Amino acid sequence: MLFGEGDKSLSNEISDKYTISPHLIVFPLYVSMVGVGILTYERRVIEHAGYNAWISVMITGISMHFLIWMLYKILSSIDDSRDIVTINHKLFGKFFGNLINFAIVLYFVFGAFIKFKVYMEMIQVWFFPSMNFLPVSIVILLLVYYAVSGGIRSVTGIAVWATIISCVSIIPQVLLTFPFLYPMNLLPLLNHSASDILLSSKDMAFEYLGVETLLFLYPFVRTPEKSQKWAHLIMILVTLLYLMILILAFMFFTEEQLRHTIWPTLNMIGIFEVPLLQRLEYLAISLWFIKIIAGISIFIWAACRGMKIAFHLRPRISLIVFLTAITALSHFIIDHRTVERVSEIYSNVGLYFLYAYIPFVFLCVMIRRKLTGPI
Amino acid sequence: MMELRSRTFLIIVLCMLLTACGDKNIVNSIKFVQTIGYDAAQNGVASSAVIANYEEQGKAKLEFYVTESKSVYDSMPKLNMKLDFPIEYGQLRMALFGDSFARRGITTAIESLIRDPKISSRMHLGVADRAALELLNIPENRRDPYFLSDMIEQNMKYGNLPRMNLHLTFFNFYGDGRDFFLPHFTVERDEIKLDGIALFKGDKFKTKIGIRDSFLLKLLLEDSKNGSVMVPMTGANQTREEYFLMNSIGSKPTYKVIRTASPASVAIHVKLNAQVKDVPQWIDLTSEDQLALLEKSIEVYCESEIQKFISLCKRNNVDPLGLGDLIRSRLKVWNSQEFEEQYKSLATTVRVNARIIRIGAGG
Amino acid sequence: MVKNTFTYNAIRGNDMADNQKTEPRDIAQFLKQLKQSSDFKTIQLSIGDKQLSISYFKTLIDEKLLQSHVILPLQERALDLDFRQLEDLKTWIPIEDIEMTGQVESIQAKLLKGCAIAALDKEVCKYALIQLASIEGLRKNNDTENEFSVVGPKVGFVESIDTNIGLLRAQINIPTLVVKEILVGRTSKTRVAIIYIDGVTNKQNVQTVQQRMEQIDYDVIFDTSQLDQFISDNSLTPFPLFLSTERRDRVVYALITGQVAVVSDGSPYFITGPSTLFDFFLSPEDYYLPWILGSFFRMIRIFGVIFSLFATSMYIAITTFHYEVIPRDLLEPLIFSRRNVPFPPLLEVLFLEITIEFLREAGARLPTKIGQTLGIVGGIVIGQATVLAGLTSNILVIIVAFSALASFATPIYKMSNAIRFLRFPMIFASSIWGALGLFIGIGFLLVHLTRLTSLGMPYLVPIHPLRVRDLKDSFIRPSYQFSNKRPSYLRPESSVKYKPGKVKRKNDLDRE
Repeated sequence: MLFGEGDKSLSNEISDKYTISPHLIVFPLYVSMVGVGILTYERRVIEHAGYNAWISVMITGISMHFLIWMLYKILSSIDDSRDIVTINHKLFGKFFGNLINFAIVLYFVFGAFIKFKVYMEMIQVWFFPSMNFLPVSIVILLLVYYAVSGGIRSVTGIAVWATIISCVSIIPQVLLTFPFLYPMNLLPLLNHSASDILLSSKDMAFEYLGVETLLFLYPFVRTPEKSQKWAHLIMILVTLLYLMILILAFMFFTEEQLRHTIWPTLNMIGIFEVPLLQRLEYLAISLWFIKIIAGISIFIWAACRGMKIAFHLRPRISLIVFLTAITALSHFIIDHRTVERVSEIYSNVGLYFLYAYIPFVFLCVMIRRKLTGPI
Repeated sequence: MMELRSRTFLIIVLCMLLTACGDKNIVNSIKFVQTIGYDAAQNGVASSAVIANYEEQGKAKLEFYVTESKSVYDSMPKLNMKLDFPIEYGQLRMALFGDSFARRGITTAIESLIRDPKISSRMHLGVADRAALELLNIPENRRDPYFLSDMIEQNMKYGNLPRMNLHLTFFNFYGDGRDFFLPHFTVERDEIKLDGIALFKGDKFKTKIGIRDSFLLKLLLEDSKNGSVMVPMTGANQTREEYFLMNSIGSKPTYKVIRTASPASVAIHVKLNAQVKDVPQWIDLTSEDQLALLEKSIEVYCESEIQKFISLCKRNNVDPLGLGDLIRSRLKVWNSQEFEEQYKSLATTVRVNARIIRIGAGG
Repeated sequence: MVKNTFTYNAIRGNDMADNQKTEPRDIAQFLKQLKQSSDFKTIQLSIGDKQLSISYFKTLIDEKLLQSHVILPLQERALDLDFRQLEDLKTWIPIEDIEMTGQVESIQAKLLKGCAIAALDKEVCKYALIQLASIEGLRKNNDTENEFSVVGPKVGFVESIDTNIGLLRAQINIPTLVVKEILVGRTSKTRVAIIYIDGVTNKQNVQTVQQRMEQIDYDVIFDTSQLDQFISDNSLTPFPLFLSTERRDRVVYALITGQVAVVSDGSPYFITGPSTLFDFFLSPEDYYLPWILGSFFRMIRIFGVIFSLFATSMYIAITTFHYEVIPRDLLEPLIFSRRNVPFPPLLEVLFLEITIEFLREAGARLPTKIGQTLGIVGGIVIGQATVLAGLTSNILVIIVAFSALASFATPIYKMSNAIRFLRFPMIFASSIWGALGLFIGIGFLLVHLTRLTSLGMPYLVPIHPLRVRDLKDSFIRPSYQFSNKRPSYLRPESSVKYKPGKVKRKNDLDRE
């Protein structure tokens, strides 16, 4: 059942039964973009632009729309199997194409690992400071295995749940922080230079990593051209979400205080008490688990899909290999500093992936089309 | 084949689970520190933890544990040596600082509180006018480990205390051009009494204001519901001073920066809706003129008292109102040191607009 | 599913030899075989110059009917010489269902269904099958027994398939209601009817059901709920993939929305499918109450299920790991209630949950009156005693009792069983890793639910795949004005159920 095709045939054709409706693309895109980062990004974004960083969020959001537009242009320009692997083959030849494909697959696995590890770190700080994390990671990754082995349908399914859950946990937050907000914090509106704001936009781009899953999702969408407006819509919503939480955090914390806060979003949630539970941040962290699972599943799914079309490897095998690798890595990387460094590397790679590789492919595809007609 | 392999794998995992429990903190086999006190000791800090022992329904027995250590940080490991169950801070609701400790600076203490994710940012802080331990010993008779935090909570809601908690303390502590303040406790006839607000400069206790000034502070910071204050009558034909009680029903302060360059000047405008019940005998609450007179007295009194309060702040170089922050928000570049120098010369104009909207039953 | 059919086929292959032995080719051999059983009777009647023999299973037929409608008219004309051939019986006997045949297979089938066979001595290989089936032993009362409702009809099904189909036809009064009958069961040869409305139900669903039914190879079909398991898409799930009900209004509702219903003879339960998770939380009563109330009670029911699933595991997670989240006012009662309990919360919960399960199982097996007494003994006496003995905390007793109560809120018994069962994995998961464990459990549950299908239709529809228009009859019960369309996920052949007229009610200020 995995990936929709029968076990024997490893063809890249996707039967109609396994495609998803165009509007369903919002869910996988949402969960792959919004991850643990939303609990911590406020602190990172203000590093350069201070409390003007909300402008950076908007700039990054707009640039992402360009990227989505480019992605759709690239993917719709070829006729048969519409994914990045085939495009790489066609543009760069079999060998170099596969080299790039392998790098992309690794990048996705790496992304899943970062999501997983950062969440586990949070669990470690808030829940179980001195627990052995190997068993719990194995069980969590078993869950990922279960989700991914159901194919695109179960991956989008868990994404739908994750989206519902995160909406449920964000709306009360907006309402309940109101009495603690100091709008004056936002002023003055412009006291940082353009270069500072751009530097913050660069930091912000890390939060949007995940939009590239579109490269593999695209062929699974029934009438994929129609999904473009949904992709743009979810991008607007994600940008608004980031913007809203950032502005709330700005009004909730003073700048210096925000620099001292590791998990600003959680601290904001923690300020209210409801009758049956105090410390809502504990609930939020647990709810976030579903979100993380969905994010990891989509990344791993994309990686397995990439392995399958590039190297004709049975997805179940690559799935097991990837999950084992993640378990091993997260077992051996234990200190916070390494995690920080690794995610730094990931975000830089992601930045180049989004802002260098994709425009480059875009240009190549456009030139090829001009010269030789449709590819 | 596949099935079999995954099944053996599952069995291995299940076996592992048996040894893989998280860190257990079963609720009845840990000790919650519910209120903690910090005092300055000879070489370091003496921290006293109040822990309730729920032996009988409805009656908690309070236990006291005092440890002395070099700094705040190692008070917890030291406390553990005196207890039969592990100690946990997750239900901590109140931290009380002794007078001398607060004057020395409380950064280390409150930073260690905010860094612990188990501690709620809604917890309260307070300053005692003596050693914290001495004050904490008094509520022992009441058998309520949360006595002090409830008292603060209650006074914020129904009394003259402006809103505060650990988060807001940090907000003011880290905020540019702001200074934080904490409730101040004293002892009166063997009972704990909230007698005002301790104003801090940086992290050091600077001066204390009374309960009337704390109403003014509340008036200037937020919607001062339920605060009350005695207001003297200002009448032309009056021989002796007479007072009446004014309850605030709602208020709204607005700040306007007139000038940002040194010396800066700020206009404060407070809209106040009040209730007046207890007035001198000769006043007829149904008469329009006399109500106007009362409103006038409230305005005059509040304006002058607020001016006095602000000059007190200036004298002590503390800024609980966040006037520095106000100026900062109007400037592209703002320097806290520069502002501090000109803080004393900051000009403020205060206007209070009072309206009596309720007069109780029976004029 | 694929696996299931595979095993059935295997069995079929092995038993082929046996089969041939038991199926006689020759009618004489067949009759000889039958004579071994004592309830097989043969009587001889002489009519005119001919000898008529009538054979039947005494236990399967109505003997009064035989005497009054067959033997009596024949004896009256015993001297009549008109009787020449077997076909004449048709005109003599006042029973309309008489069939003439010479085929062994159909004789065997009919005989075992309660026919008498009549034959003339001279005419070999020609038999008359006279329908005399007895309906005794089936209950007269057709009140619903397990799916009770306060408002609305209490018509339930009984053990006779014909009565059941009659009940259905009485309410779906159109010619397009199609009943397809097949025989299932190697030994029981049970009549199974696949019922749907032509022009409404998607043909593919009907075909799938029929195909899966035909692939069943099993000896005796005791109840329709067995069929449910044979034809379900996934046997590795605690969730029922088809709705099974004894209420007529439920089956009728399912048919008119475009589902397929299946019933087997001898079972008062219908199964309808393809079903979604939400179908199990609908109660017919929702539709008999005003829509606001109906929606409210439906939401209460859904909340009840969620509460029942997670209440005790939350208790474990909080008391074992996350003491911080206990509100300070609850801290004292909670600590106090657990003060003397010698077990960790897990054992405490398991002890109580298992007690409740015992009570339920025992209550279901005992006669109603004793069952009630047992409930009181169990609920009050045991609960009180365990708290007094300090084995459990009294707060937990409240939580467990609540969640047991809430699990009864599901209108479908199979679903409430699934929820009863699922509580235990949740309890174990949260006792290992607290809230994280609980959410790992929820994660598995959600992924499992998204992977389930019922007759190939996703189980979680309309949430996943999201169909916004069909969401209106899931969490709430909309007003009839808006629920005139069949859900699109069933892919019905016609989507409009009825056309509500535009209702204009003036609520204006004094009708302006």
